[in-house]
Amino acid sequence: MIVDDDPFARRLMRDSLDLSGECYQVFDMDRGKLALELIAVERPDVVLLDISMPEIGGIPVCTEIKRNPATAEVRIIIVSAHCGSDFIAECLSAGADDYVTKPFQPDELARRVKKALAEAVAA
Amino acid sequence: MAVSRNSKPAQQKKGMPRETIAAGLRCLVLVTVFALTRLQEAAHSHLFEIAVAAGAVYVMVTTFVPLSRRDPRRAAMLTQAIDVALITLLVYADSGVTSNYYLLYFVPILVAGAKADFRDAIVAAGLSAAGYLVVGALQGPAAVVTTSAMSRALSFGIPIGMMAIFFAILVNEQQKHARLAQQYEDAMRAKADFLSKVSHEFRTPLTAIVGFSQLLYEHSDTLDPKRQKEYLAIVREQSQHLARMIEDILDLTKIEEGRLKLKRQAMQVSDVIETALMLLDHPEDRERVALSVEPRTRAVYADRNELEQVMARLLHTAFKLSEVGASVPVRIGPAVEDDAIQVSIHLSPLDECEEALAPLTESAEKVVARKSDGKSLGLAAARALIELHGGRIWVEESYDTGVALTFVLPVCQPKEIGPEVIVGVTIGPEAAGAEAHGEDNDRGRRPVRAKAHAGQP
Repeated sequence: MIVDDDPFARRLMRDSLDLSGECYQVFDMDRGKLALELIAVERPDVVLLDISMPEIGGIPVCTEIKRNPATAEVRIIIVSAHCGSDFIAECLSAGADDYVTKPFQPDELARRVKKALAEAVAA
Repeated sequence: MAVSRNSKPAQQKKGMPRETIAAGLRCLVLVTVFALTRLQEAAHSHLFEIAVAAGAVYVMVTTFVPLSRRDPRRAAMLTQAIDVALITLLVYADSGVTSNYYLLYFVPILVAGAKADFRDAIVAAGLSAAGYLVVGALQGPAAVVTTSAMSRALSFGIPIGMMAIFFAILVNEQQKHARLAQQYEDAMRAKADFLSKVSHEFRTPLTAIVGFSQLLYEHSDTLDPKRQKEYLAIVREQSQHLARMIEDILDLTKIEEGRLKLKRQAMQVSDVIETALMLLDHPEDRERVALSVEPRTRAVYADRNELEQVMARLLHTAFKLSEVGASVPVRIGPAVEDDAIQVSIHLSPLDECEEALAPLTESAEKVVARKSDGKSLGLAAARALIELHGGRIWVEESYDTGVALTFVLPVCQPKEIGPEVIVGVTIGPEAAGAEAHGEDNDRGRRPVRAKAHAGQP
């Protein structure tokens, strides 16, 4: 599941996974609140989550996903332009499992998703 | 662990010894002086004992009060008062108002002055004068009235006056310096914050540029041509977007720092709009603009290049916020106020219109601080440029389409261009602005955008 308000970023993440050679089923959403509802229904294995979004930001979305027992197992990779170490620490303390800084290399993103999926399966 | 081990001794080194040594030295000086007094004036032995006792109290107070550090200011004042009291005691014990030990009164004054603490120096001088007068009062009126005693008492007035003047100047300078330092610090913090947020804004188009170009590079053999073209279009559009953001920020910075100098000349706004249409990212958008000009619309006195950028930014916003393919009427005519023309760009608003147009009323810092996709900077720059021309811009309800971006600009005054100013000119390519076309379009600014359009069909 991709959650980002920037349509180009959503398209890039989707195509990065599509062209990585792996077979993924990908949903995307441009708003955090709607994403929470969709995550509760679809139960994705991994969520690629932007931080700066209108209405509800990525940190509260991340916290909510991890707080809800039904979705707590979902792996969250923050994909954001923020890159300070304090900020990354904040994301990790909110429950994020990994962090990718924008701009990112498509193959690097695909590698992180693969790793997160492997961890999800192992768990 | 390593940090705590290192930091503790450093604190002790900084805090303890300085005041203890100062107190010890003060004690040593005073005891020496009292000892000398004892040797010279054996008759005053009882006063010597009192002085030694007072010295002991003094050492305790000057050692423990400043070290308590609860109120350093109060501790310093108390120490000073004790200094003056002991000097007074010494002067009285020696030979009263005629004693040469009165010179010791100047020590605390000079010490405070040397530390540039003029408030302490004035207090020390005042206390010294009071202490010396007390000695005189204890000796009787006759002693005080002597010329020597009077001149000595008056001599305290000189340092008091001088210190007061220095103190006033210093306080004034310190306040000025503190104010400037605060302003500088605020400006630096705001600038750092602005740069940090702007660099964050840059990452949005950069993500698409880096990502899609990387996908193109890595999968050029397998991607079908349609998808390749699609990726290239995204890279091109985001590159233009990035270039616009950089231009907007440069313009905003120049305007805020007062470095943007307008090269004004008389021109018709309709001509400016015609040129601005050529700067649009998508040539098909040009057909969406329906330009209408009221008769007797006067020329404006503006920087053609900057006004073109304003129009391009406003039109770009209008297209982005309007329904796809919707017409964007632009009306030019005399403003309600005298000596101004009004330009209205009408758009069919979408849902996010209100938030998107907020930069027209917000500061540049606020625009950047708010989550935006970079387009807000363009509006902030457009507003700043219009205000720099002496105009203003606002959003108003439009009777036909819903919302209008409206701005007014002062018209060209005859004194600004001479008697040949064109008033009530018919609008068209041959109108007043025509003489400015050639020379200004070659000015060389905005190379990125000019190139981007040069390649378009």
